[in-house]
Amino acid sequence: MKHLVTLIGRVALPLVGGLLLISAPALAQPTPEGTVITNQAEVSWTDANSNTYTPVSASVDVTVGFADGVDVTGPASAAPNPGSTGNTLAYVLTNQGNGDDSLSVSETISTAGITVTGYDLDGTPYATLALLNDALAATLIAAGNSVTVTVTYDVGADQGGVLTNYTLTADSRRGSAQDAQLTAITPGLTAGVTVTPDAASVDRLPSPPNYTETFTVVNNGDGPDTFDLVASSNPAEITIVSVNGVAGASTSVAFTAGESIDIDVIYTVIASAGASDVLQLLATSQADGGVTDTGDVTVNVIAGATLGITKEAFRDDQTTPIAGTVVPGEFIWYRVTVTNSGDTDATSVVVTDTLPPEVTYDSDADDGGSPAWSITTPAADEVEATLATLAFGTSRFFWIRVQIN
Amino acid sequence: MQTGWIRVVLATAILMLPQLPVVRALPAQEAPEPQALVIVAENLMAGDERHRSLHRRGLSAQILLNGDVVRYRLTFTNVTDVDARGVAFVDPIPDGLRYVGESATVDREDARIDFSIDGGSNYAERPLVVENVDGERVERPAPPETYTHIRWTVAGPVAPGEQVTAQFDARFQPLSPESIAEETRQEAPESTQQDARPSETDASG
Repeated sequence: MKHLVTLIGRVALPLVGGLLLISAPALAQPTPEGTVITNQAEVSWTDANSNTYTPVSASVDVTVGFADGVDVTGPASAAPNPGSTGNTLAYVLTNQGNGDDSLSVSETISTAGITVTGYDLDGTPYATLALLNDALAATLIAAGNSVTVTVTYDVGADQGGVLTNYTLTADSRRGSAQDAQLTAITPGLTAGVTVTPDAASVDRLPSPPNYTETFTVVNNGDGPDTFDLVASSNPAEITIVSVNGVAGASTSVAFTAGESIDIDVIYTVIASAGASDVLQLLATSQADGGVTDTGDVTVNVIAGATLGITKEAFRDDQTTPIAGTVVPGEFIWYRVTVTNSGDTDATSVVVTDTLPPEVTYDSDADDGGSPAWSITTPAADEVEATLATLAFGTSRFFWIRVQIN
Repeated sequence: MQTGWIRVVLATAILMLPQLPVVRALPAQEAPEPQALVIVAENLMAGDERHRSLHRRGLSAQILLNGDVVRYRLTFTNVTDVDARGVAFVDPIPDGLRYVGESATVDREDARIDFSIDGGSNYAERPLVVENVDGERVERPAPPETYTHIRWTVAGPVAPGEQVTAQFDARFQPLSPESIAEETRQEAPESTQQDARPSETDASG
């Protein structure tokens, strides 16, 4: 035979039929510290003559001790502004033990992105964690009750987008219970970038060699950022070789807040003299794809240096051109003139003059310009003159004095 | 064995607050009258570090802490001059404690042990619950932690002066925040039914 009852907690209610419907047991709460739990048992019996005796009961008590319990709740995340001050995080510390308790707290900060400036316990401010703990030590929290600890902090001006984990941990002073709440603090990031130079221009010969243009990229945002850097040319008179040492036309570079990095773009000039191209470097913030800037340099393709040389003979006064004859024993001057009629400066210009056998080298002279000629005589009949730079569109000369044999 | 039991009783004296049915002051030379029923409790964890710590702080090592197991021992003495028959102990599991499975014993071979999960209305050796699983009625043993009462029934006579001792263990398990949350999660099962299969000696009708 089966019995039907519906149970609510431990109260039995008869129902119809042969089943027992039970609801969920009533939720038990932690038994308060100091509660006396009484166990009362009963014994009944009869005798051989079926005489009944009054049931006898007896009881025994046990006393409940302290069971500690701590719970910390607070914001899981926060998004203050970079450079902001007086931000707050409120944490509720609950005594989940079964008796009075007091708490202590500690904190961990994952990075130096924030600075805690003070604390507050249920409306009373404390300058330091030690003072807060002194106050908590003197605050007895009844079972099931809570206190609120508010943490005030500042955010560094360059901490946009930087995650800082702040963890507040509470410990039972009467027991070993502990709980913690982690708050992920991520200040909002305002991105910014500049790329220079803008509208610059350079003259380049057709390659080889490869050329390098240096762009300066500055992170003007209020936090670290990574920028996608893409070089391009228009109308493709040059070919991009690498960007910041990475082969190809693009790369990405991480910047700290305010950091400036020179980015080298290496390219070859494939056009002939007279062409021009615009080399651009575009920087795009990965934190905010709408934040971009472009630097650009116009590359003008030019011709190289074109050198011409002339040699004239003068009487020993260096002013009278020799129009007639010379006689043995006479000293005369040769003036050697080099002209750069090209588009670029000529460097390391070397002139070698092999003297005719009818003359003998005597001396030489500079034209007094800058840089000076370096004139030597590697052989008795040979004069070598070297000029470090001969600017385009200019001429330089030197003298060789000889005697007619 | 008897000596050991007395020692345990002394050790747990702090738990035996004077709620016995008969309490009276006795002259020093007069032996105490035997009681028909004596119940004592012993905290089986009283010797662990947590309780030693309590003791060092001047508190009783018998105080119940989370997870402690209490052993209750009930002793019936036939204080009459005739055989006692149909001796039956009934002990509700105290609030705040939960029965430890397989811990109930009795020192008489002719005694049986039954349990109730419905507040003592019905008893069975192994109470069953019925669950509705996907529309099917499935019977399974009720978890021992859900037992509400224990009953020991002695079949044979108990001679005058003879004793019967029964005992069981119960765990003190104040709910942690996690277990409260777990109970809350399990609060609304699809359908929970209980079938307290009565024992043959069920006297509750």
